[in-house]
Amino acid sequence: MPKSTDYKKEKTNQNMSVSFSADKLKEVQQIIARYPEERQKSALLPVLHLAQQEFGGWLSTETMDYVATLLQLEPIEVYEVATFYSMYNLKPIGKHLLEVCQTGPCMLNGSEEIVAYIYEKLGIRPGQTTADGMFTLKTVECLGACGYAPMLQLGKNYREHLTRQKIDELIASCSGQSTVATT
Amino acid sequence: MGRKLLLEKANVPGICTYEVYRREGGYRSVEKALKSLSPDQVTEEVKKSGLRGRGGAGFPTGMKWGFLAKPEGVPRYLVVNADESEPGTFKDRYLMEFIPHLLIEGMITASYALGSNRSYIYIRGEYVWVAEILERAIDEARANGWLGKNILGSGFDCDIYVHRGAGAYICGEETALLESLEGKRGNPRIKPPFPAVKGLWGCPTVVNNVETIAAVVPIINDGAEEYAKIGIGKSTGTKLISACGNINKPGVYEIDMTISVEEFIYSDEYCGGIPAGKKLKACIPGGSSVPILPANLLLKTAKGETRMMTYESLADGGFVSGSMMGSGGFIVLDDSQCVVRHTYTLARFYRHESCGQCSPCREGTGWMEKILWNIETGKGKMSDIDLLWDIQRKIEGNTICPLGDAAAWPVAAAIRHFRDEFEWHVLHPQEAQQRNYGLMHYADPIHVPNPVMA
Amino acid sequence: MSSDTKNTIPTVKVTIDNITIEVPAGTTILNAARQIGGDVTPPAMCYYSKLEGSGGKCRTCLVEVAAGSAADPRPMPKLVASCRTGVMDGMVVKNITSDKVKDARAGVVEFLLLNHPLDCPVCDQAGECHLQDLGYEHGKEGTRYEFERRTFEKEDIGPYIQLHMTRCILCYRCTYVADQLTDQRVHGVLDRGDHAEISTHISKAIDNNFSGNMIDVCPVGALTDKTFRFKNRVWFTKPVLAHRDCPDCCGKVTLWQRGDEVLRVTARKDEWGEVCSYDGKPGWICNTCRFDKKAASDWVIEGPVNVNRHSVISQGHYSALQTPKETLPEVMGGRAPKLMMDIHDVSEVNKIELSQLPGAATGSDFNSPAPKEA
Ligand SMILES: Cc1cc2nc3c(=O)[nH]c(=O)nc-3n(C[C@H](O)[C@H](O)[C@H](O)COP(=O)(O)O)c2cc1C
Ligand code: SF4
Ligand code: SF4
Ligand code: FES
Ligand code: FES
Repeated sequence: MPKSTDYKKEKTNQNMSVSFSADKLKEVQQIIARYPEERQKSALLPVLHLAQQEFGGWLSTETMDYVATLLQLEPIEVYEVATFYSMYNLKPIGKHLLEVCQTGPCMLNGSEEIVAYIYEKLGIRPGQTTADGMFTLKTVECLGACGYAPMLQLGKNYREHLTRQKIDELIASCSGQSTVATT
Repeated sequence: MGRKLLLEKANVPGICTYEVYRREGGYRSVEKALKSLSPDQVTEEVKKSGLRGRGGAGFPTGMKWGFLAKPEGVPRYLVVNADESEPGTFKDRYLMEFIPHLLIEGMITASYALGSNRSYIYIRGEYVWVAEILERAIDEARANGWLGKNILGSGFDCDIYVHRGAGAYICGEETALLESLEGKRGNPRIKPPFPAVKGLWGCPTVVNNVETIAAVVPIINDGAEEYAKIGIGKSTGTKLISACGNINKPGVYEIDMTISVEEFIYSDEYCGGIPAGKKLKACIPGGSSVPILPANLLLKTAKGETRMMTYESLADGGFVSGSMMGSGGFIVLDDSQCVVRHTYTLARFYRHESCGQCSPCREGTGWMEKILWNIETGKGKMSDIDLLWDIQRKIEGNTICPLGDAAAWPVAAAIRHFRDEFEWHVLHPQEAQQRNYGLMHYADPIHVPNPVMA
Repeated sequence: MSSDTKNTIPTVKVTIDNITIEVPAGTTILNAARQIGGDVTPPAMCYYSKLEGSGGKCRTCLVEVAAGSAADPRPMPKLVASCRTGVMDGMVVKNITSDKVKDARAGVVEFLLLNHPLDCPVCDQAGECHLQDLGYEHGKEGTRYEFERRTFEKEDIGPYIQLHMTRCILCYRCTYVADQLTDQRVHGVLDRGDHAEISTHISKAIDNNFSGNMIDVCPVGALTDKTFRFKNRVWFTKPVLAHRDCPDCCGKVTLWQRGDEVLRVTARKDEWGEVCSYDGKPGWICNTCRFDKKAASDWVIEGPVNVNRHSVISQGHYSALQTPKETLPEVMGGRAPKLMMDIHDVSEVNKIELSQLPGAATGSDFNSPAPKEA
């Protein structure tokens, strides 16, 4: 039975060292420089985005502790923030994350059929990942694309005016290219 | 054809680049303000223009700027609210994506008026590419001397930074936004103190919506009086409306506030009517948190007057028979849609987005969602409808921030105007799984009582 | 506030439930009402005068402001949180004289109890729980909530403190204690909305000499003393005032005894359920006093405690009871506590059904491997 405390187990990134490259460290410094001195806590959200992108698409306890050290914060300050915002994944996800909007305006335009069609195609329901670890499906709330509904977010991009055909194409292109097609 | 002030140039090829934007007359307002106006004069212009906040509450912008505390030796901040997460709203994205320099230009002028040397754009985390567009635009502006030290030799220093959120509607609430910008959970602050006195890092701060700040550009360029001439009454200038739902032409429209709701929905210049020969059933005119109206009350006020796309007219009748301009998120439902199901998705949204700080919102939103789900799936009772009413009543007005109200209003309005549809779900649980209630009487002409002769 | 301005603070007049009182400017409505005392004082579940920044969250202390001030006598449009609203000269406040307040407060009580396990028979806090008191005094009827309650697992946060999150009302007081009394905060609020919880994230031990004060500020039985021996119902124990010469804290405590045995040590509480102050300083106690000094010989006993009005113990029944009983009405002086007797099967406390809810993916849904209906 899933518990809301599930994510609390200590988790590490297997086979991956959790530390930024010199380039990324420079980026962290640039982010910190956006804020006045002594306000480096403000860099927490952007640095967590960067860490998630660098360390496997999710935030392990190890990653969060690393970010805490970088920004001189208590680990709990990072956990509190990471668990508050919906864009931070606290568990490993599939290679391609399909986030289908399900709020009112998208529902009016058939978002439920899109979710059903993805199940038909990939056999996954919201919250699940395909066995091969390629796709994770998630339903999300309004992404600010209501006029272009139904829509989903794939990596950095929005895919809008979805139809069955577009889902077919999207899945094919993700499956075809083994290098990340989502960014 | 209405007058366009913000999106006039949106379709000029390459307008998102500095060269084209400048060639088309961009950054004139910064020149005018920094060279010929004092900061107070800029604020005065904005006051005179009648500009009202475009983020939802419609608070007069000039007055807000006037409230900013100016203690000696303490920095002041301008923060632009680009969190845009209210269902039905996607206008700011359009503006930032297509004419990012308009926002940057407005921000420089506004920062000058407010004395902010470091201004931030707080953008919702999902708009990754929009943030990149803005960062590019900022770099271009900096490279061309519009940002940095001693801009145009005026002695005014300013820089602009983009701060991406990470998925939380509540960070659109201005104090939650400031918390988030400080690297914390997006828990709204308890007011007072207000941001104008103690905002970002404890310093005086103004938070304004993207569209509000963009509107500063035409106000300074053309003068407050010109701007105030557009529109009706206290609804001056133009307003971006993002239209979605069951319409032929969803999208972002700039209206001068002189057209009727009917024209907006049916004219080809705007929404282009309802698709597939269906009929208008209901509409939420200002983003998901404002009251839903049935077709008849949407097009005409309870007094039988034509309802206009203005702050005042949309609110005519209060919550009994009116709604609100809100954020300009215009959601249209046709006669094949189910108000109960739509209301359920909104209740789910607010439950998901509650920060969880205060008990009425934390507990009440989830409760309403569960009851609505029961009604929608044929497990509801008649008493559930009254219970829902009572729950929303006990949330409204009793919470720390307006998210509680925003969660309560859609439920209240749906029950107020569509109670028979809720009852039908309860009385016909099986049938309600097969089909929707339909248009019924929701578009029937409203009965206007004869005015009493004076 | 520096001492030289202290004398010059002007006073203002405020009227609460028809009683007028003069208080220093800057006083909150709640603190002004506390000076009047009795029923005029709104209940406060999250505000704690000794913890900076606390208050505003639970909404039990909402009051009506019928007139803002003498200068601007307009009423305030909404009820306000009395713990975070300052008084103005000539302000007129309605607490129990306002039907609006009573109605809203009953709503808040219902919300607070919505997901509360009501496992009072097995809760260490029973008898001194502020939520219980609140339910009796301001609740209206039995719950109208027909869904399974939210549950969390019990968690040990260090060797001394147990966190029973299911009972937590998210008042945030314990996080302020960690921030303001200890040098390092290791617990906090995770997740958001109706999933928000107090936790250490990865079961870190809270290890600080003043961490035990979190137990004293917790208004419910969410944070409890693991060293409370025999887990006795409080009303079977006898509270006495005692002190010792402690190098770390004030050393002024309440001992909860049975016979000569010290079952539990807590700070002394005032009539509002807050830690007493000595010479203007809050009488927080250190973990050594609280957890390690469990022999009567460690202490100088001063005498019996006057149990405050906030406690069901004050009904005067604990001393008359000789044998433990697990029923509440008896200790409640025959008042049948409607709300509190809606006690669920205890085992239900450990069941989870949130994930089966239809609807939005939350962080936790997303982390669940089980299929979910869209
Ligand atoms: C729950 C909630 C969400 C909000 N979301 C937004 C938003 O996404 N964008 C926005 O500009 N204002 C939003 N607001 C309104 C802001 O709090 C604030 O009033 C606004 O940014 C002020 O700017 P304006 O005066 O220019 O409208 C929201 C308010 C609440 C209560
Ligand atoms: S009303 Fe809701 S979102 Fe606003 S502070 Fe309270 S719990 Fe948070
Ligand atoms: S554990 Fe207790 S003190 Fe901490 S937030 Fe919950 S109820 Fe308040
Ligand atoms: S409702 Fe789906 S993007 Fe707004
Ligand atoms: S005591 Fe005032 S809101 Fe909780």
